[in-house]
This record gives sequence, structure tokens and C-alpha cells, in this order.
Amino acid sequence: MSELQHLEALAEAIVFAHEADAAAPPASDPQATALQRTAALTAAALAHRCEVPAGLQARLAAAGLQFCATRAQLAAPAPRRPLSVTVTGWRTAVAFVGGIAAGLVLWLLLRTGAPVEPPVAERRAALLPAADVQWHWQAGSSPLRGDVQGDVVWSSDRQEGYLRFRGLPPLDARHRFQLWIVDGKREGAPVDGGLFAVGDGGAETVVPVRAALPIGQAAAFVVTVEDERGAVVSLQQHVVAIAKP
Amino acid sequence: MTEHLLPRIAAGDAAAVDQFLRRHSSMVWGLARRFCRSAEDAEDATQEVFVEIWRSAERFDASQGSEVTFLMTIARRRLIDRARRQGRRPSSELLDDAGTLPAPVGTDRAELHDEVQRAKEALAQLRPEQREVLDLALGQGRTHQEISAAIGIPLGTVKSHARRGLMRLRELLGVPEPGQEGGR
Repeated sequence: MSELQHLEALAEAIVFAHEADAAAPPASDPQATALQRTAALTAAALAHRCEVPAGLQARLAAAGLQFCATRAQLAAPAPRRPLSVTVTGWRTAVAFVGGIAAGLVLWLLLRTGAPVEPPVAERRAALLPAADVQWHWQAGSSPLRGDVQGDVVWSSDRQEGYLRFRGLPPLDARHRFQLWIVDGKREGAPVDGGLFAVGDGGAETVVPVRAALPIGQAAAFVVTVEDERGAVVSLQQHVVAIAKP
Repeated sequence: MTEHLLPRIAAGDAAAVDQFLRRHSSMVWGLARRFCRSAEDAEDATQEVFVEIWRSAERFDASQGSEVTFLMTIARRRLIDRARRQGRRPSSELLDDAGTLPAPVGTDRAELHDEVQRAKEALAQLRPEQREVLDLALGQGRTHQEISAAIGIPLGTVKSHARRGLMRLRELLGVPEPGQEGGR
């Protein structure tokens, strides 16, 4: 086969590479690489730019956010543990187990005559000094977002957090808001943060975070609209609010 | 000169991701919508493309080509893989029905990459039949048989226009072999 015939065969294989019976051009052939780049640039020139649907925009943004959170975590130096807590030995172990047991007994005793839990707004206020996250909501792409405002507070140490909303319109009975937490230390889909509803009248609503899994490093909080029973993995088609650094 | 965003994305810069999406997502979506049979399939394909872009961002080398070339090489590979795996391509009925396809958005010329503009100019220099075949194959994912039927020319002629058109474009654009980028 002459050089020209070789090039022609490569060019044809690249233009029609999407056909089911097309032979893949050799990846190591430099001529094939140059023709692939030409095809890519031509596809860019021929592409009709089309408006990206809001749901897809939200999915792309969430996937990008998840990637950045993971990457930032990989790039960050591992925190050094203080020497004092690396001391090991049977005394430490006994003290640790004893502490846990004492705590359990105390918890059981308190639970039998447990006082009424303080209102959620008070619990939020009490958490503020310990919170390492306080981010404001940015409106999502869904028309269901209304005029959402407010913030999220989260304490990594306590694994406790609260969402505060104003201007988030209530949903019908078949739908619920669902919180998703992007965890910088976890690969894959964001963590379910719980289902909730908001009341009428535009009053401020405070909602506790109910993370389904421990959160290593909160990188973003995303609120979507889901079916009343919630979703295991959100399709992120109705993002109403996002909070991030 | 457009700022390179991929090195910043590789470092986990969320603002760069946002900027990259605003700059390029409508182009990838437009291509995916024409390669895939349904909007749902095109959405999944578009998401796959960008997830691969994030993961591959650290391999971007500006001396080997522009970000658009890098992006569209990955986009084409993903769309080709899906088309071959699923045996799903847009039917001619779908392509002819403007109501099923999203409306094109205006291209901001200030953001149009120099290299894409050069490719448009190079396409304009091709013979009309070469340009038409490349548009249907590279821009819309049509098979050579579909193209033959659509524009009424023999299969052999479709292939001939395709290969000569692509080779001519490479010549016009001066796309070098890897390792010869210094001459660009």
C-alpha cells in the first residue's frame, strides 16, 4: 500500500469511526493522530451550539464540583495528628472503652427522662460557634427555586448542621426538597442529607441536616426537588439551591 | 489568546470548571444531540464527556493543540463509543424534525476560538460536496449509506469525498504529526 493509500484509508476510517463495523485506526500511528485532531477541530467548526437544558447544566455543574472537591482533597497535605493522641497502650484502650461505656450509661439514663429537645432554631444558634462552614445559598437553575435565600451551617467535628431558608416556595404533597452533601473525601455521588418541606407564608424555615453517611469534608450543599419518598441518587434535574465556598 | 482553563481544572479550581462549561457545553451538547437518538441519551453522553474531561485535564498539553481540539477529541471518542456500543444513531426522521432538536444559540464571536474560526474558513475552501459529506458524517454522525441515500451519490463517491475532504482540511489547517508541533 502506498503512503497516499495509507492516508486515505486512515482518513476514511476516522470520518466513519461511528459506524458499527468500522475498523479502529491504529492509536500509535502519528498520521492517524493528526487526522483525529483535524476531525475534532472540524467537528467543533461544524457543531451547532444549542442551549443546554437547565437540568443538564445542573448535573454538569454538580459533577464538576464533585471533581474539584475530590481533587482539592487529594492535593491538600494530610493533617498531622498531635503526638499526644498517638500514644497507645492498654491503659489508653481501657480508658477509651470505659469512657464509651460510661457515656452509654449516661445516655440511657438521660433518655428515660429526656427533656424536650430545644427548638431547631436554638440548636442552630448553639452550633454557630463550633461551625466550620457557614455558606449562603445561591439560587439553582430550577424554576421551583423561588427567591431562595438563607444559609447552611455545618460542623465537621459534631457532624451536625442546619439549613436556613427564606423565599423557598412550598411544594405540592407529592414532592419534597432533598439535601445532597458533596463530600470532598468521598468518590461518587453526593451523600443524601435528608428530605424536608417548607411552610407557607415566606417565613424563615430552619431544617436540621440528616446526613446518611459521615461527611469527611463538606465541599458543597445542593438542594433538589424529588419525589415525596426521595431519591437514592438525584438526577439533579431540579436544583433549587447550592451553597459552596 | 484564550486563557487555558484545563490546567486550573486539573488543580481542582471550581471557577475554571464553571468557565469551561459556560464556554464549551453548548457546543458539546449540540454535537451530542445530533449523534444520539434521544435527548436523554444525549444528556448522558454530554455528562460522560465532561466527566472524562475533568479526569483527563492534567494530560492537556498546549503544545499539542488547543483546548477545543482536546475537548472535541474526547467528545468524538465518547460519542463514537456510544454509537458503536448501542448501535443507536439519529434517524433521518429525527434529524429532519426541527421540533425535536434544541434551538441553536448564537455564537459569541469574542469567545469563538481562533482555531475553530480557522477550521470554519478551511471548510469554506472545500468543494461543496466534500463539505456536505463531512458535515453529515462528522457533524451529525450519519453513516456513509445514509449520506449516499440522503444526497443521492454512490457509496464509493461518499467515501472519496470524506477522505479527500479530511486530508485537504489537514493540509489547510497545517495539523502536524505529533512531535512536529514546532513548525505550527
